[in-house]
Amino acid sequence: MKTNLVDMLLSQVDKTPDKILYNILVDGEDNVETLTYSELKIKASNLANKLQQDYTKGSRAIVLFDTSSDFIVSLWACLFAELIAVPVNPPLDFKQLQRLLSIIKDSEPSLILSNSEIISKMAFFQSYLTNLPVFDKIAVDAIEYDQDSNYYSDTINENTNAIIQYTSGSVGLSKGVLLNHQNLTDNLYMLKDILDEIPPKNVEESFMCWLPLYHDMGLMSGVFLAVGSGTFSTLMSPLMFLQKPYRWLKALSKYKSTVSAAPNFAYELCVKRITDEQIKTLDLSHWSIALNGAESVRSETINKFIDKFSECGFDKGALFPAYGLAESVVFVTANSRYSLPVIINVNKEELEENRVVEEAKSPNTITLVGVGHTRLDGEVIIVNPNTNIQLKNQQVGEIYISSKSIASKYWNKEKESQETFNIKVDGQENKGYLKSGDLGFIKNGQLFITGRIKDLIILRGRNYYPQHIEYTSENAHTAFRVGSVAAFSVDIDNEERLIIIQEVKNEGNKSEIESMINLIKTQVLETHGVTVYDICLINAGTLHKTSSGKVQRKYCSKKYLSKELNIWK
Amino acid sequence: MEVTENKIREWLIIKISELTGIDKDKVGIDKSFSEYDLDSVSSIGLSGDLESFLSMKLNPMVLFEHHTINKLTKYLFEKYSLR
Repeated sequence: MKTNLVDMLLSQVDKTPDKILYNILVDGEDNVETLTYSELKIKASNLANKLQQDYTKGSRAIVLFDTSSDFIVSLWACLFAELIAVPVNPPLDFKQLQRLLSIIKDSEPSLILSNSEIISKMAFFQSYLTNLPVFDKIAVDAIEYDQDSNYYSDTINENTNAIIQYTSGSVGLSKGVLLNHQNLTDNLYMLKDILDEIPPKNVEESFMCWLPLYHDMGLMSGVFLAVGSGTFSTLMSPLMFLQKPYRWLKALSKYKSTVSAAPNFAYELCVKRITDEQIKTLDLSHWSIALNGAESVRSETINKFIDKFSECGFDKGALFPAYGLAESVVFVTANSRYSLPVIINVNKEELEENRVVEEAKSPNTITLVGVGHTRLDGEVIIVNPNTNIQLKNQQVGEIYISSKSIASKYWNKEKESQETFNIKVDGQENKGYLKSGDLGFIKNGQLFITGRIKDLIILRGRNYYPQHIEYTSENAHTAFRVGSVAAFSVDIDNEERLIIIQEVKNEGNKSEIESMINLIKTQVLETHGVTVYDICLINAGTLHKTSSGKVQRKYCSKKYLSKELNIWK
Repeated sequence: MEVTENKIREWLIIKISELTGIDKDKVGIDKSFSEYDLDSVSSIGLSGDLESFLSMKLNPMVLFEHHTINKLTKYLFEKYSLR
């Protein structure tokens, strides 16, 4: 077992130099670029040789590409030269440009590795680039590779810093998780153990990934896992997937991929957009791990996906809910290959009192999908976040994690780091845990997630999950936009009050404003037994969401208090 | 199928109407796509449907670059004629 990624790659290059490592589907279809193990080694070590001449070890390098061989070569070159790689997506709009700028300010890079096209586009935004640290821009596509010059740092060890992974929070609030080689290899071998425990039937293990490679889940499942397993990865840009979701399943079918990960919305998109004609061209029988993670796993989506794609040979045991977070590289819990997801119905009111009572599905229950059991060599425990005392099975509390995958800190953020990492639990003072910020419980060894702790609404000592109230609100009227609603509480006159912000479709009828507000009020009262203090109907598309589309309730509450909402009137 | 500017425009109006729930007659051909209820997933997805409709490759960001039905129609028809 290797404890750094560079040794892991180089030992595999010696074993299978001419084997293809990455198939990159440039147009999402037939235009394929390939990189073999030895081609990657030559190009990356060549670029590393250039980098080590100008930059000292530990300097940050922003790696700014869409999915491409240049991204992969640049990333490995940083690892070879012991620069800390900071993967970021090339901005497609002003919001993403702001995100890039805030990452530049925070990480203080010495250089940006990108391609000529992106660098010339950045010149266009030059006026925004003032007041930034000074850094070089290197167009990797213009570099001529020279077979004879190569470089690998000989001081890389498990404690060497490798990557800063920025979380997907809003601009300015996104934190950089500093990951070293031990964190990354530990998480990688945890996944590899799951894969090796029950190997795929009659086919070589291989990976397919359209997730953005600047994101932890894409980086691990698309770039590093193939190297750790000595096999290959098929890659395409997220834009190619979003343009035609069929391309994902078609590539899985063509390359007989066994493992592919995506958030819940991607499975939903396949159900919605793939036609009956297209289904006839798919063979999904090789796909044995359809990992569903990074956002809430929904049982309705799982059922719809099985209904639609079982005729393509899709095995329902392949559905693989998982849980993780960037602070632990990416993965924390998962099940075994070919095991069915665990789905339970629990009483809503009991859950609000932090108790788990399973019962037959009814309007009083909510359905939860288990996200697996811990596979790290560490542990996952449930803790009362107010007392720091560990809770028993089937009690709801905050998820605390301890393992070698856990990062040591956030880059440049001492206060947030102290509040998150190495947290002591009552009675176990010799150990430190990561405070995940997620609420959940463990039942029969299976972890269930119930929500985010900072989003929990506490009114008169009682807990309310915002997503339950939001569900009631968005379904109260047909003109309301689903998924574009925020419920949160604010302190008004020394009491916590429930506020709901709901987006209305453009074609909504403005003469109905009053009745719309009343519908939310009465239905929330009837369903949850709580009075809404204030309801704001706002214009479509104006609710604040993260770059991955999650509603930012905290940010919404700030905008509510400062009266900066786009009221629909 | 013979592709004309009118057919492309008509196709876009129907699609926007389906995606947003706005009545077909009320879809404005000079209104920016950003003023509709279209999120980026739907916009990029629409570029994929356009690829299938016109049997040609398109940039996923085409709706952001040509941001009204009229502008997009003009661009698509020119690209289609040169293909």
